Amino acid sequence: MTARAKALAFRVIQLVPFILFLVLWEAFVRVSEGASFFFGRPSRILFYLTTGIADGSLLKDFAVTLLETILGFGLGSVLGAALGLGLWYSRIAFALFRPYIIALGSAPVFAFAPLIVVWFGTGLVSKVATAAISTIFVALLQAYTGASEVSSDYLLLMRSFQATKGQTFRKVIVPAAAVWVISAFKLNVGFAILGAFLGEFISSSAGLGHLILVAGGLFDISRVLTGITLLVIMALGLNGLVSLLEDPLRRLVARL
Amino acid sequence: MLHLKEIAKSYNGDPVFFDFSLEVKQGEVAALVGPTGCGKSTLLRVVAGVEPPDHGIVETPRPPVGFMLQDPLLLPWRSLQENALLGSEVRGVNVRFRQGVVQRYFHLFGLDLQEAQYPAAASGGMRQRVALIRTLMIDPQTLLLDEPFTSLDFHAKIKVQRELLAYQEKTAATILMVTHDIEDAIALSDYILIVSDRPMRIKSIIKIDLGLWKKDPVEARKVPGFRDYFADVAGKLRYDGAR
Repeated sequence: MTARAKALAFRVIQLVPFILFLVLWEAFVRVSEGASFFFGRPSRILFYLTTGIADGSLLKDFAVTLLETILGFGLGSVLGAALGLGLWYSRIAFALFRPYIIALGSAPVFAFAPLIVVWFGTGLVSKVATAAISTIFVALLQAYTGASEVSSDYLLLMRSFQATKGQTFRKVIVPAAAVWVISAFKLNVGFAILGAFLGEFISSSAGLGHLILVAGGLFDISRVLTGITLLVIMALGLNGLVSLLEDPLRRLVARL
Repeated sequence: MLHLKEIAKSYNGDPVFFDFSLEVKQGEVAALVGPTGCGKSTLLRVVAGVEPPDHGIVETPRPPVGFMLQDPLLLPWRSLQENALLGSEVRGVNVRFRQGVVQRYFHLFGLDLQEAQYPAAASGGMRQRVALIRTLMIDPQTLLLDEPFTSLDFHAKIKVQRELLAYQEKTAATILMVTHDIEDAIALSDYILIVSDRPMRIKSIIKIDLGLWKKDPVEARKVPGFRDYFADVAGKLRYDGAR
């Protein structure tokens, strides 16, 4: 058996517990009266998925949440990483701002909700803001940690070439911290989805958060689970996308 | 001329050296030999200007000063060739014009076709040779070399030493080299500075005169007087250890 065939076989075997779980779940809710009210039903989820995709309603909700997530993720992660790396220039500035960064980063995003609604309204911007706030501190702290943990020997090497601080930053700090920044991006996929979801939960007229909120109000557990399924698919897709961007990003910073 | 006048350096009140003075004339090669941890590397760092002395004056000939650290310190995200060009990039040289030079060094140092490799895939000896190429690529007038041959097998070492001597002859560069290998010190240097344990001081200066054979590290080792120099240096080092 070739390595490729082995990998494929492994993937198929990996699916077995999931399929088994779905079959048992379906069987359980069919034989137990009233169980589908509490636990939903896989066949119902499949029905919602197919009909929702066919009529475009699920795709619209998916697209809305995806757009909010990507914008919030991009804004929070890029800004956070830039600030975190930039703080390498001044340890004093970091020491000064550290308690504020940690305090703001520790506060639950949900607590900012009323402020966000007042500042940014109930449209797209408020969801993007929630997603951005959810991601910015992770990116900032990870980027700063990566930058500050660069071996002092590399800094010594750059000093031996009489490199300026800017050259050391470009040629050593940014590429060395790239691993930390990319790991922050991976973590932030989940945080950005959570942020966008929370934003929709607070006030929205579309999106997967809206769908789950409405379905929850109607006790339609299968529809709630449909929304969750789509959120999981979105997270997996975005994680895959970040992984795909990892190598080009590393190559890019290596050439600074 | 490389001139150190009464320089001192200490860490947490522990003096590494004080009142340390040294002169290496333009075009001379001097080797520092002494016990491990006595402060030889610290001295090179101070001379290279990456660490300030507590007192004293360090005068180096016109820049650039090439400093090869004990650890090759190649940047893992750069290929071997990109690492070799790091110093040139920092000095603002257009590296496109340096491709030919770097390729020639890779060839001379026995690293043909290894340019695109990354440090993780390179052996210790390869990394050390790339670190030396990186140092030479900035065309230094003063070379400070900290254990530059430790990871090299004999064949590679001789190759590198020949090229180093050729560079020194061509550019009349001043070289201050730290080594634990007495034979390397004799084969390459105009004189050997034997230094004591901390606080480091110069115990003895041995002038090396191998005549014309000095320019060839293999032939230099065959000169009858080579063994006498070896015995002299080893004897003086042993005395320090016994004390």
